[in-house]
Amino acid sequence: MKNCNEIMEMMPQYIDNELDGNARTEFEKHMANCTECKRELEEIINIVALCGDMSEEELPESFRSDLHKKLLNVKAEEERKSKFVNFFSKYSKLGSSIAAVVLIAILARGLWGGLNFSHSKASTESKSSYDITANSGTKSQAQDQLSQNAVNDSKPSEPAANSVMEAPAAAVQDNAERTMAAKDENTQKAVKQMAKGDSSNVKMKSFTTDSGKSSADTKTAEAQESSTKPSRSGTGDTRYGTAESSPIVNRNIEIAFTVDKIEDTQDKIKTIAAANEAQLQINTEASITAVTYDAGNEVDLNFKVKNEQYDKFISALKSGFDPGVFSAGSLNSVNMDETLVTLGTRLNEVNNLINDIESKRTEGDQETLDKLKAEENDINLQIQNIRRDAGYTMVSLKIVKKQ
Amino acid sequence: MIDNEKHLLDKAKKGDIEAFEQLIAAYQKKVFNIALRMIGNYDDASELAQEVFIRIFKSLKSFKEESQFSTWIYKIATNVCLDELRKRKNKNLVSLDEDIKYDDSEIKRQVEDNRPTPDVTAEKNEIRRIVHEAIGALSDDYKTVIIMRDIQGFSYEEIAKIIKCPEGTVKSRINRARQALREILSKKRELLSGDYVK
Repeated sequence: MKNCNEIMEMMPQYIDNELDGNARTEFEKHMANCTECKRELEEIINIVALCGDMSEEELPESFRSDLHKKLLNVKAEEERKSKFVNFFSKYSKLGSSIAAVVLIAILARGLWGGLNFSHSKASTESKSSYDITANSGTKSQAQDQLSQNAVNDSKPSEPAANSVMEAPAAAVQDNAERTMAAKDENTQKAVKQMAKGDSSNVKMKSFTTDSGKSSADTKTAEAQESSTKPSRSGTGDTRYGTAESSPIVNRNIEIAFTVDKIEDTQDKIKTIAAANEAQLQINTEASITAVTYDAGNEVDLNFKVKNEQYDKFISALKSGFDPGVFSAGSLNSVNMDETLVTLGTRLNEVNNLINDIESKRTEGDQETLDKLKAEENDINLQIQNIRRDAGYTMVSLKIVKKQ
Repeated sequence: MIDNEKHLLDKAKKGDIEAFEQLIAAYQKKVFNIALRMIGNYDDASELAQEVFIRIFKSLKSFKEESQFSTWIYKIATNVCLDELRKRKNKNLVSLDEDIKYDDSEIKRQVEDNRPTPDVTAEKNEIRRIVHEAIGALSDDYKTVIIMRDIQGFSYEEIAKIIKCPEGTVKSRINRARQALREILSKKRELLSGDYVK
């Protein structure tokens, strides 16, 4: 018969279901008769469950880019070292011969020219070695610059997504005209619908005009082209299929505030938001649900902030409250390209159906037509919202009253 | 070692950063979370996890391919974290007590740094904070095995390889670590009663 300590040694295996028949029976029998051990077992099982419930945190946003930068520096440093080692091993023999000759020359001159002369020569030597160091320093800076450029090159191109938002009406028109070449009449209609959606985007620009981006250059026109790619994919038109496209990304984050006075916090947050160009969303049509909600002990506030302003807004929120009050989740970036393709495909189908009914190619009553038109509007709105939210971050704030 | 991993490893050994990044992509989050639980601070954990990958990159040539790459990564991660904990203790000998007690400001700072997931209730956050704090008060050895086994879900065999200990030692250490955790949490009886375990 095992004592309590011996039984407790078996606990990890019991918890992990690793005890075989006899040992398991003995363990369970002991537990049935020993209240103290039973309580310990239950508590340990709860501890294991509590540990298992510790959330797994997302990587910090800049983790990968910071690491990339460091790796480039490490690589540059190692290359420099290996070059130096190669150089040294190659020329070490020659170098020592030269050093010997120089030493002899200095000693000889010293002997003939007196102590002062040899001293000033030594200073010159020392200076030239300093120059070499300085040069290698410059090279290192150049390498760092190269590394930096490489980092910048590899960064995801959010500005490109913004350029979609900022595409001028001319580019949209141009795009619509180009798509007119589409063979199928229905396809043309669908693509025009999409272009209509884009025009709405351009109208949306009126409240976000401060980014100062330039207008109708080829690049933005291309970006606009790629932004309509989902609808074209839906129609099977592959003319622009190979064009490079920037992903449409919607970002969101949730932050919780645990406070004594909800109203005061709400006012403070609104003031901080106003100072940081974060727009309060009240019952909006935003693609990410954003409804202000008040249920006594909890208030939800939703803001939409430009990605460029996001860090500033979050820092301002963070520094505006005591550390224990503010707890932020991780920033989610959702690539909406696939959703756009799905919506574009459905939009096409709906357009075809509407067209068929209107041209009396197929039977269909007014009710069906109305439903299809409502769906068409709804899809257009969804596409428009997804595009509109690109370049912005939805910040959902939950203010909870401290219990 | 699967072919693709082997291919990436060969390229990474020659200094190909992109290949290296692909090679470590699957391990980054786990290493970061190990560091986070070991160190307790979000920003420091990020720095430390990066340090882990820098060390791995620098010592890739010494990696013997007969052992598993993942085990090697976690071994380095654990060592880097334990080194850091040792360094901190040496630096702050006077504040050792504070480390264990976790005064209010420390707790608050950690809660902020840990950035709990947004979808959990304040209550759940509070429980996690208490458990996190209790794990932080464990000795380094116990902390390591609790994080590995009960938070990260490594098997006894994997832990044994990572911390270079016989499997039996790992099991008994985990047992003692859980009991130590129970002792620390004993003031929070309600937590141990299971009412909060969901």
